[in-house]
Amino acid sequence: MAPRHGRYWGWIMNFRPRRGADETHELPMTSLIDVVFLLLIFFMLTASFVRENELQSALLADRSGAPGSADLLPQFVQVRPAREGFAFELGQRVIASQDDLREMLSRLPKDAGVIVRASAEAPVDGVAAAVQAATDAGYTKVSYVPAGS
Amino acid sequence: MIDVVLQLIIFFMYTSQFAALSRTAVDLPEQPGQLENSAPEADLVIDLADDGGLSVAGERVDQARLAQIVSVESLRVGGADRLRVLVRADRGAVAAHLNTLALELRAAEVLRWRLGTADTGGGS
Repeated sequence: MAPRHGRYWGWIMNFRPRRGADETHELPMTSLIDVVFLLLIFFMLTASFVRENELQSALLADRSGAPGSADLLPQFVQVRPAREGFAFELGQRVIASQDDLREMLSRLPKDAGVIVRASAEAPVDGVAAAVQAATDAGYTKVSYVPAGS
Repeated sequence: MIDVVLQLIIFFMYTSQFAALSRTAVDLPEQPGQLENSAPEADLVIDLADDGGLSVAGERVDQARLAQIVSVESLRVGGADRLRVLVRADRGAVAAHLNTLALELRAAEVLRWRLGTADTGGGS
């Protein structure tokens, strides 16, 4: 077995830069451009400027009995089509805008929640607006009941 | 060598986005949604097109196929009451399609689901 010192091991472990070696270094531009273009394509493909959110909704279960707070009835919002797209009915009142609906709902008792129902021709946009208005008004129980159920 | 490594990194970064890219393009209602964004990731995402067509993971499905998918997913998560469903309905669709879907979900014992919205105001 060769000793761990001497001329052989000294040659292997010699990390000192050699004198007179060519010390000029060049950045590999071809590889760099490849990587930069790939990164560019990646971010172009994955970029999205629309953030998707969610609205909590719940269907009323047929099997459920009386509501928990039996003294209160939930607010009932009907979404129907209108000339401007959609309108809301809250009791006997017809409300045209989402802001007005939120304002009206915020004045009503919130314990029993809100039931949203939409007629067949109403747009989904109106359903989302009604659920959003109820959520913004502070209701925690927002139920969507499909027509025909 | 470094080219290969960086290309592998980009590959894995790209493939990690496939879950979101598998959703079909739906013009969602423009609402801010719930303020607290702590909703858990949905187990099942159902896309509802403006013509009433249903898609799951980019695949167009009919009512029978959807019921089958919901049943399988319910078994996977341990019950329909645990299944987190996100409905991404096109804002231009009529509520009749949403009602039909809601009734199908209720028939499958899925009583809670979320409605997808798009927050385009101010880019927040």
